[in-house]
Amino acid sequence: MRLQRWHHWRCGFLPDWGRRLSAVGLVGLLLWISADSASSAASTGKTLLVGSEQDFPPFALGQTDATAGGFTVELWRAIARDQGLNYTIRVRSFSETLEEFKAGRVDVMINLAQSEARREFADFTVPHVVMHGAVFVRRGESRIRTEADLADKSIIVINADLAHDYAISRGWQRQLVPVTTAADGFKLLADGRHDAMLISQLAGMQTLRKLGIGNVVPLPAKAGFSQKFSFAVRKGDADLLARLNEGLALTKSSRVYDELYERWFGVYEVRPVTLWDLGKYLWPLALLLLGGGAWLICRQRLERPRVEAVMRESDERLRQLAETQAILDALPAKIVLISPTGVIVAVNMAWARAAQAHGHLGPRHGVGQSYLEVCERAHGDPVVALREAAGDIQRVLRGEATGFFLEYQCHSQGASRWFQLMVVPLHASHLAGAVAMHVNMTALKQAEAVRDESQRLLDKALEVGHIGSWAYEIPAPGDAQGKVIWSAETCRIFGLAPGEFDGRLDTFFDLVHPEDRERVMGATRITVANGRRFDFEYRIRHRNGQERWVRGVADVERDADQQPLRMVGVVQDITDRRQLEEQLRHSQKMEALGQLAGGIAHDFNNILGAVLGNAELAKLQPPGSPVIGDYLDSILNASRRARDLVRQILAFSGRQEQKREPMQLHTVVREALGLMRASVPAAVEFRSNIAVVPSVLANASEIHQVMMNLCTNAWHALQGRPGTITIELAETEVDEALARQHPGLRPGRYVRLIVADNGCGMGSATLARIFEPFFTTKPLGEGSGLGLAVVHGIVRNHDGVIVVSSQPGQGTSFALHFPVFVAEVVELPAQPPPTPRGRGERILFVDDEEPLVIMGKGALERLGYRTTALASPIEALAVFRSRPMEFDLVITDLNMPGLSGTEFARQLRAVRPDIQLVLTTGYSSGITEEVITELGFCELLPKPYDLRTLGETTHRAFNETTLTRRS
Amino acid sequence: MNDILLVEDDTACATMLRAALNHFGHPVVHAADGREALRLYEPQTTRLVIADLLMPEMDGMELIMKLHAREPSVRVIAMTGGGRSGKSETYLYLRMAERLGAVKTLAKPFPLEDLRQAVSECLDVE
Repeated sequence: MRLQRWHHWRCGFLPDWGRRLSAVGLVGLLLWISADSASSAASTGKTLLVGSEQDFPPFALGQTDATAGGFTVELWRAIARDQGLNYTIRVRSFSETLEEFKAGRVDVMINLAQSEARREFADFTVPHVVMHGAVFVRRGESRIRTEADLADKSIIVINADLAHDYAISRGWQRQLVPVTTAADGFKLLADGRHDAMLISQLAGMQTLRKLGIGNVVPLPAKAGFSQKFSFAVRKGDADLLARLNEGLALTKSSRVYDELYERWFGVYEVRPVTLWDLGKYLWPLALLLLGGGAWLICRQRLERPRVEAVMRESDERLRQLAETQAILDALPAKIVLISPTGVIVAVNMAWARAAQAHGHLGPRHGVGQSYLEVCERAHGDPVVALREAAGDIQRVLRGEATGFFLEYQCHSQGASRWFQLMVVPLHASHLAGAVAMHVNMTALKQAEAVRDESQRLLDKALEVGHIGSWAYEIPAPGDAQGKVIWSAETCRIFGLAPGEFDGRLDTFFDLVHPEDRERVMGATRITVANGRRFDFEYRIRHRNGQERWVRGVADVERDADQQPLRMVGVVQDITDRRQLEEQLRHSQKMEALGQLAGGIAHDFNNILGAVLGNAELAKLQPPGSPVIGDYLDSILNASRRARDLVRQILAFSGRQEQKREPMQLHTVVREALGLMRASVPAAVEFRSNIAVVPSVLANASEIHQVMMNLCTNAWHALQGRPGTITIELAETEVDEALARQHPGLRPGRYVRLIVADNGCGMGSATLARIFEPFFTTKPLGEGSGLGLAVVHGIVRNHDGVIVVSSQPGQGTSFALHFPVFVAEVVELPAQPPPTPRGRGERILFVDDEEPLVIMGKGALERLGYRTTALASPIEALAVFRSRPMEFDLVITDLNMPGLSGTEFARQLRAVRPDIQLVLTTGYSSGITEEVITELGFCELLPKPYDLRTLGETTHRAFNETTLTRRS
Repeated sequence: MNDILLVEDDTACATMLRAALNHFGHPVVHAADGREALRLYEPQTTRLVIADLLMPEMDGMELIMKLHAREPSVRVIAMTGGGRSGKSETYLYLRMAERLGAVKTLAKPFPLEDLRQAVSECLDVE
């Protein structure tokens, strides 16, 4: 057992461990002794008269019986209570008490120092306090350095005190000045009277402190006597003696003794006590034990079993102690036991080793020293935190706190180390004080520092990149909605203060732009349900009202049963990027349109050539010639070509924003296929496999155009040779592997439209450029180079992805992937309703282009309207002014020389505010419904229009009139 | 004997031009590009070549050069509706064709009267 015991316990008391052991032995021994006693004062139940002296702090306080107090008085009370003794305390001066005791009037003296002389009339218990004698002199006294210097000096002693006896035994009787109390003596000494005072050090210090005397100090060297204070009973009262010893042992083994001692002696210091002192303390105990041993030998036959039981118990405790110590020594933490006054009582091996390494705690590794002072000294730098913690540690020692924890940094030898200090009170019945444990946290702290730095860098990077992170705790089915956690950056992206977000999923959806909300909610549902990665760009409404673009990416964590646990993701503000892209797109568009002007001039000039030429030819024919019809057909064909060309340009330039709605693609694909079959030579074989597929979000006319462009492309790839064009439409599941190969494609459900041919195919260089506007492999004049660019633009606007595969000579396959839309299907009407017709309403039609005037008049009249059509807005205004009530509706062009459509409309309204107006224009971009309404028009009729559009728009305009009139 | 070889890749234009030339009383042989034109050209019977300049396979400029190589006296009317990268191209193409030996040029679209007059002037020279 390597217990580093403290042999310096105040005034020679055994340290906790040792006292615990001896107490156990004593209890057994004393129990045995007391059991053997026959009768005594104690057992008869009579009231004991207990003598305590006046004013001997801290042992005895008070001048009267009623005010008796102090350490010994309280110790007596505790023991008497424990042992069931009746008593009365009587307070007198020491000498008077002693006289009364000797005379048999006082049964117990509770504070009598042992001496041989006193054994004549008293039996002593085990000492309750041992006090060493000291020589007190005035501060600055130079003549007296040791006890030996007292030989010719005037010495104050308390009358009949042990010091008195001792001084007499040293032959100083003539120099002695007996006083009644310690206070009297010190007052004399402090006043400059006499040379020294002999008294126990503890009592002397106590008295000096109480009197506030500062110019009297004890000599460093001890005096040659020590006082062992005991309870004294009258000679021969063995029963009472045994009960007092037993009671004393019990108070020591519990914390009662320690608490009393701490209360009364705690304020006095702590003087290191040597082994020698300990030996001096131990010898009476040893004597007692030896005495007991002798008794044991005499009575062993009778008492052996009991003694053996006691011994076994003692052995068991020793074994437990050894085990406890071994465990403590095995721990890497530095552990110390601290006494209630803050002195280190014992340490474990780790502490001892550290102390040895530091080398400044002495051979006993700090045992016997103040714990807090040791801690402060132990580290080169003052450990401020530890110093500040002193109060907390003391609270633990006083039992006011259940524990204390502190992390502190300790710099030494250029290295920074971290420790955790834990101070916990001891709760063992025999032990008081606390355990302090220092654990080296440096490795943990370094790891934490690395982690913190990494976290800081990550946070910084996320902040710089405007990337917020979030997590959505998915509720179990049937539960309320789960909790959403946002990082500070996520809050910033949405314009909320950190912590302002309430954690509700609905709150997040509310912040999404209304037009994108359905999409985001749908994608969230799909991600949770199917595990398809959530990754797309959508708009949000920033707190400041701005519309911002974000990209959200998220995935779902699942438990072992594949049940979704939480959705974790990031959101990145990509508004700047979107704006740049928009600018780039715009500039590219401008560039492309510039090219277009030249590029399509060629096609247009050919078309116009055909139109003009055929028209001229028709005019050259005699009226009624059947050939005229052929020329007109040619004109119509050429004009349709021109219309298609314009449509393609507009589709590419994105000027025509198309609304998308959920639809099943098989209808529109079949329709387009039918059209292609009709227009492509019979040598081209079409094979189709068109399944009924789930809905996608699409625009029917755009999908139609995609089909037409791809089929035309496929046909051209056959280069006039017989070949096959394959059309397939089916639902497909994109897996991770495929998704990895094609950027933009994510795992999940798609509707896949394949248009494939077995034509010429292409190499990788061509393949890389096919979606560039105006890139074409076709000869000049054969293709605009816009077809695939348009396809690409449309599919991209559909959140779709095109996967192209081709080999020269092996044909080409375009696989278009459209994400499956989860909401309800909106079926396209199978049969368009008939064009609404008029019932003779009167219309004024104005357009500065004469052919359109003629065409418009003819068409409106065919639809059942009475029409006045004019090419001059000025003339039309005059007509209207002359008879405003003869028109129900005016249809006017926007851009006209002389009078613009808007001005024309204003003037018409000035004449007749309730006139319904329809605006026609060839360029509708930038004209919103608001502008139309503001200008006073009820309908917009984009050019070119066909009979149906004209009929429907006109019908709506009249309906609007009716409605307006009704309201 | 009085054939005009019409070289035009645009079907609509070709149909119209053939009708117009027929109307003016000229038999027409049509080729869809320069290569076909070289095949169809017969110095004995082809009195005039009317060629578009921008065509697949072999364009009009190459055709003019090759025709002149075969028959230096060949008469060619060049026509075009412009190129891919700008409106001044029509002018440039036509001037280039003149240098290569085209006797007349027509910028599409042109009135049929211009065609009739150009054809007439070319044939009257004979």
